[in-house]
Amino acid sequence: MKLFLDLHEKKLILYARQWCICPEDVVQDALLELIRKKLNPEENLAWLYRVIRNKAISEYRRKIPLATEQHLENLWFEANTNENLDSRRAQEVLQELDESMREVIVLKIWSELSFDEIASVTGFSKSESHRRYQQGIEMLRQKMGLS
Amino acid sequence: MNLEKQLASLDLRKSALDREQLFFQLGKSQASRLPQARAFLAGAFIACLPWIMMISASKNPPISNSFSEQIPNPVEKKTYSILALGRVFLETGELPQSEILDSQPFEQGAEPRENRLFLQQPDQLLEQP
Repeated sequence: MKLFLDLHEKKLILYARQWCICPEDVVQDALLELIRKKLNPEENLAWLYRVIRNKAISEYRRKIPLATEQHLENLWFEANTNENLDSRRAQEVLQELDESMREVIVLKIWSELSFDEIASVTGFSKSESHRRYQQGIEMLRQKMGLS
Repeated sequence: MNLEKQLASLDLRKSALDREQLFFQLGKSQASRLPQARAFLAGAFIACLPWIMMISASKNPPISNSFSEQIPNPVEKKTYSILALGRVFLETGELPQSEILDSQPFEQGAEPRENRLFLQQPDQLLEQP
């Protein structure tokens, strides 16, 4: 479990952070549920993401939608900026994307899930997930002036 | 470096999960598995008990009516009267191995049961010089 947390903790929290400002609580609840059900976390990674998704979205719907300032305070990345990419700017551009595209990009780039697993988490088909990912990356390029 | 690699290289924000609570729950969950495992094994053993008994019974030699060469069936042995026994003694000078036969039913006109003896191989004894 410790190894699993070391490897996936930040990724799971980033995924939940798309919808809520307290993603740690959501991930904690999901992990407790996994333990209660006596499931192996490595074998049930897609299940865990699905639970986090459901909890984060219901959290988002229960509370008043966050203002832009609050969203920007809810940092996704550490402040150390990449030489070629400002982390703050990257977050802003990601948050401007359509929710489904952003979700697929987060799952692909940071959670490192396959398109099969992404399809299982999001409910899109594998080809639809792939299409949204490509569209999202293209839009990011345009917004960041990289194309 | 393409955009995807640049994005992947960004450091994710540090998190603050309550690991102690998670490990505590994990410990509780694992501890609760032990009695479950015991109950499961006990149930499995009870369920298999008739099968185990059948297997062990089939390994024992079956009770059979057929005769074995090494173990003669006492029911098949012939009975001889005291007179026949005396005749054997007169001819051979020794008494054959004998035992009182109680299992045979008493025949009409035969000598009383207590006088009837069982001889294992009287014919062979008679044939001896």
